[in-house]
Amino acid sequence: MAKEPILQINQLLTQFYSDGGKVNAVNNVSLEIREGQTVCLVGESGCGKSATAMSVMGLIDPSSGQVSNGEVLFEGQDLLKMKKGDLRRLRGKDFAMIFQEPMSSLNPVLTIGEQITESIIEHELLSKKEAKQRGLELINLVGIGRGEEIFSSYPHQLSGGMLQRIMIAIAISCNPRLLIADEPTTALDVTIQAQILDLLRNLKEERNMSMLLITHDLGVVAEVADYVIVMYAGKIIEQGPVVELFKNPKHPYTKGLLAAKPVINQRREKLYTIPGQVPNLIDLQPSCYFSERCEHCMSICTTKQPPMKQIRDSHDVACWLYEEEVSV
Amino acid sequence: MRNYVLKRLLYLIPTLIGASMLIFFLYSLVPGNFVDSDPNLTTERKAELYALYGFDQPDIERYFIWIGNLLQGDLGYSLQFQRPVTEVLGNYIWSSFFVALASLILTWLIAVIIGVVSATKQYSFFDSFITIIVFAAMATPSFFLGLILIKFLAVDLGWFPAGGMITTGSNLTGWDYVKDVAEHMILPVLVLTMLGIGGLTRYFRTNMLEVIKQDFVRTARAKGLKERVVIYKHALRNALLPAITLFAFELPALFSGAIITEQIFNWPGIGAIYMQAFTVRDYPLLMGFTMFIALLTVISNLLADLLYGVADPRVRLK
Ligand SMILES: Nc1ncnc2c1ncn2[C@@H]1O[C@H](COP(=O)(O)OP(=O)(O)O)[C@@H](O)[C@H]1O
Ligand SMILES: [Mg+2]
Repeated sequence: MAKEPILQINQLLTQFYSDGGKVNAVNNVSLEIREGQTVCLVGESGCGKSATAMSVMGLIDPSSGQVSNGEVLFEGQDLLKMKKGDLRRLRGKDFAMIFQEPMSSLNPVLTIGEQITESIIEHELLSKKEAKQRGLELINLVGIGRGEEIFSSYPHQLSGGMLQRIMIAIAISCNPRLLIADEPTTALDVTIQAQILDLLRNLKEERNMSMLLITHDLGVVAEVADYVIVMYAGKIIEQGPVVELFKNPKHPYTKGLLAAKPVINQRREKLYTIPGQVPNLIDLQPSCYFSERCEHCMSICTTKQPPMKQIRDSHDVACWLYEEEVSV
Repeated sequence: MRNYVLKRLLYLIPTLIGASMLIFFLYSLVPGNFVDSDPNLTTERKAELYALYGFDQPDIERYFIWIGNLLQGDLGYSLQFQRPVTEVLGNYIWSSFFVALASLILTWLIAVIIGVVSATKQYSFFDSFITIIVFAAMATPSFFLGLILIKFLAVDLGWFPAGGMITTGSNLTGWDYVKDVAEHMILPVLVLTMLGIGGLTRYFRTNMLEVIKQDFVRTARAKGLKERVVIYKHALRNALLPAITLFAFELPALFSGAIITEQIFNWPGIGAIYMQAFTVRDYPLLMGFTMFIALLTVISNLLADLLYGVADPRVRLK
């Protein structure tokens, strides 16, 4: 049980510059991922999931934003304090990432083979021939046949599902210990989605990786997550083990998300949707950011930020409803 | 692939016929000609000359005669030089070509480098500084730029010759001759480069900025590749792709001369000849030359498409 965290994020603050001021895309986020664990990060689009992942990767474009505060400890080393070159040598090797859009994530003018082998050659100092051998094995491993043919083809010749498999092959090519997958199935057909998820899950087991899986699809969460973190407007509002969280959601937003999820065999007249919109992330006043949309909104919710409270073993929620319950 | 090229070559024919009609009738419909522009000629002499040059024939007939000659590689007879147009062009076009080629290579090299550096350091001091310089160079008229360079670099400092193509009165041969011509080329090439570099630098900067934002560049970074590799292998290749077309379009410009710059530097190029032909209404020369440039233009269009096909796997022809 007491496995060491492979990734620990403390009080991460990531801001983007915009005309109206600074956008706190990731607002004081702390989380950890243990060895072998699959952690799912969920939330509506625009709540800072990608920004969290990009901050870990050190890939926030300096012309549009920055990590202003916090720590990102990967196996105990703070990635934010690391020299650029040292970080680059870890990136793609010890931790790797795959993205939402497989169609645009590969370079259109380089062959698949070139794009798979270049990171192997960069990180593992293999010869071209050895790298090609490894590349062919990887193509096979992610479930595509005709390795040689795929190796010399260009991205536009493959389907989205195949490209995402290639992206996965690239990501695992140097045996990373942590894989970050940012909505890896969102852009794909439903049938392909399941295949890709299966592939990710199997690879994770076989290779003993940890995984941070970003999604807004609770069906995906239910299938693969060990632990779930719910984000809203740049903040974590609830987190807990998957079964616990699905059975016993605490935060009104989490409850709303679960109610909004269509359930098979349970046709309802109308799918539930959470009313309202995500607030503008610029200049938010101290308050619960969900208060405007919350049916249980109390006066304290609009004036004070709810702290993170442990409800049960490793199940935390940031909501004034439970604050009272505990303090009374 | 061979079929495609053949098809494209066939398509050139109607285009060229259209161009030839336009060129011919535009020049022949303009009132007046080479003979008319000499006021000292008697009416009889004029009639003789009209008959000699075929000006007395109907336009349609003259067009077909002209086209027939074109097809045999005969561009006509220059009235002013009293020599075949092909010979006149051959005499002057190469001096224009070498200046244009040198400035083309220089322009592209500098523009790519500056564009890439500007884009990777967007809004930095270097970027802003270059932006100002580039716009200043672009906005300066060529005659002014030329005269300034002559004043400072040729007259005051005496580094380069002020004009001409070879040192007057010299009788150099072989390597010495090449060196002499190269020295005379420097200033005109410099002017042409400074004028051309602005637009192209902006173009590469914009392309590069566009490409750097793309997902596959993010992927390249996420793989832990060196920044140098990310920029030059992943981004630049994609930014250069659309420029291939642009590069092929430069082909006609290599042969069309630079009217003002050649005038300033007294460079015996085709631009100066072209201007002169206008003043004396040497229409056969103008028509032949324009037709030649039209031909180069359609060829460069075809070349642009083919080159693009070779470079971009997405349109590569099977
Ligand atoms: N490059 C950027 N420049 C400016 N704002 C950005 C940028 N990337 C993300 N944001 C803002 O940060 C917030 C979080 O975005 P993101 O992390 O992409 O959300 P998610 O992945 O959860 O959909 C959004 O409000 C978005 O507008
Ligand atoms: Mg996202």
